[in-house]
Amino acid sequence: MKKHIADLENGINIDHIPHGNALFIIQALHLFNSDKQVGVGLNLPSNRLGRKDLLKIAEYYLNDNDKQMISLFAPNATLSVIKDYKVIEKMVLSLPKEINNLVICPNKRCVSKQYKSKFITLTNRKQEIKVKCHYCEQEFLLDNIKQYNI
Amino acid sequence: MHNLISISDLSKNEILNILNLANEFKQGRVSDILSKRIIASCFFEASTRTRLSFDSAIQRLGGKVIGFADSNATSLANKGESLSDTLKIIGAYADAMIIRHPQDGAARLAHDVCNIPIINAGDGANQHPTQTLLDLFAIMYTQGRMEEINLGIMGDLKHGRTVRSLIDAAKLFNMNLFLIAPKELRMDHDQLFSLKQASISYSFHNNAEEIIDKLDCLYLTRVQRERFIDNENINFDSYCINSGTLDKAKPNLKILHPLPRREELPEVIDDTPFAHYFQQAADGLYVRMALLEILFT
Repeated sequence: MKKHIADLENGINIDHIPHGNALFIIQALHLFNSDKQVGVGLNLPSNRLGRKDLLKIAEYYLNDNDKQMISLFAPNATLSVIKDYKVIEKMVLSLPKEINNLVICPNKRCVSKQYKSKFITLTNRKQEIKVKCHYCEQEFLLDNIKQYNI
Repeated sequence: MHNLISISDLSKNEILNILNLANEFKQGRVSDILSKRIIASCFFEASTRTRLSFDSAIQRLGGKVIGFADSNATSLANKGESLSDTLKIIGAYADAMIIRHPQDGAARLAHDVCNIPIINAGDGANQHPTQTLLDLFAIMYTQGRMEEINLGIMGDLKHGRTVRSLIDAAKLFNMNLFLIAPKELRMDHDQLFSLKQASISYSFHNNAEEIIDKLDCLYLTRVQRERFIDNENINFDSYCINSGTLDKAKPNLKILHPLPRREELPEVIDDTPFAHYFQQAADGLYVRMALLEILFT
């Protein structure tokens, strides 16, 4: 594998992020104004995705909530935890069954626009990931979600 | 059953229990199950049949009604109170709440913030489950059965909440669907896929005449122009019926409509033996009595 960004001593590596979504993750984790060092790879070649993004964040670890949130922007991404330049844990992120207060419902008439949103995740006939609003019961392709509470 | 938010909350047996009990009320059953109960009737959006039939049902079952038919008179409209706070407070004053609201999902919000049974009387373009129950009652009452009905649904299949709920219910009863709508107002691919998954037979048609001889019931809907978000300019003229449309109809055909009607269902149809929509609306009283009795049993 080609090395795109310098190796980490300690921190996390998030690989196989669908291209265009790395910046959402940085925003969701509030990293823009933090003191954490972040390496960003955009539009990198990928056998699995065609193009992908990649993030390396030094001296930073994710809790379970963070992992669930990131999985929304990077379903099936690979998360590696690195200590002393070695990968000590590696996992494939998966979408939670329920997503709370993160996705803004695209339905302009939905009551959740004024309140906390709640979605369940499902897949459609083409195995594409969809989210279904708990309130208005409408289903949306995850790729078509453009607004987030981040 | 403690709430009715969406028709998909009900099993086939629960639906049949409600319909059978509604038939008993139509035959003269008497009940005072709501005596000493107060039901909040909260109509944030205009309604005639649904609100009055619920009010009548509650009073015939011995209950009392509080609420409003015009949300402009509430603190929500005048003092900027949130809908969530308004619903919480109403929930503390009543034993159950019937809610109609123009926003999709408002009834589910009421369910989430209140500790009393909630009945959805229509939430935006989403669901209108009690309308579906009375649509199903009309089918059962006029056809004597529910299974394998040839059901035509004509008009706005995209925005109509009654259509969405009826199609969900049709899946439970293995109905054959004949969908008559312009391309722009058909259901989306995933909804159609859900019909396939449920092994429901469906076909699309451009007018009712080509399939009228196959239908047991023809369900007409009003164009929901008030719910169009993106100025959809659609010619709807071919999706109205007239007496000629019914020339080849089977004798058992009944025309159903959630009302109010407009140009899609002219008054000339009222005097034909096929018209059932006024009886359908009148029987909504019995369906709502049955629902309330089951909710409090």
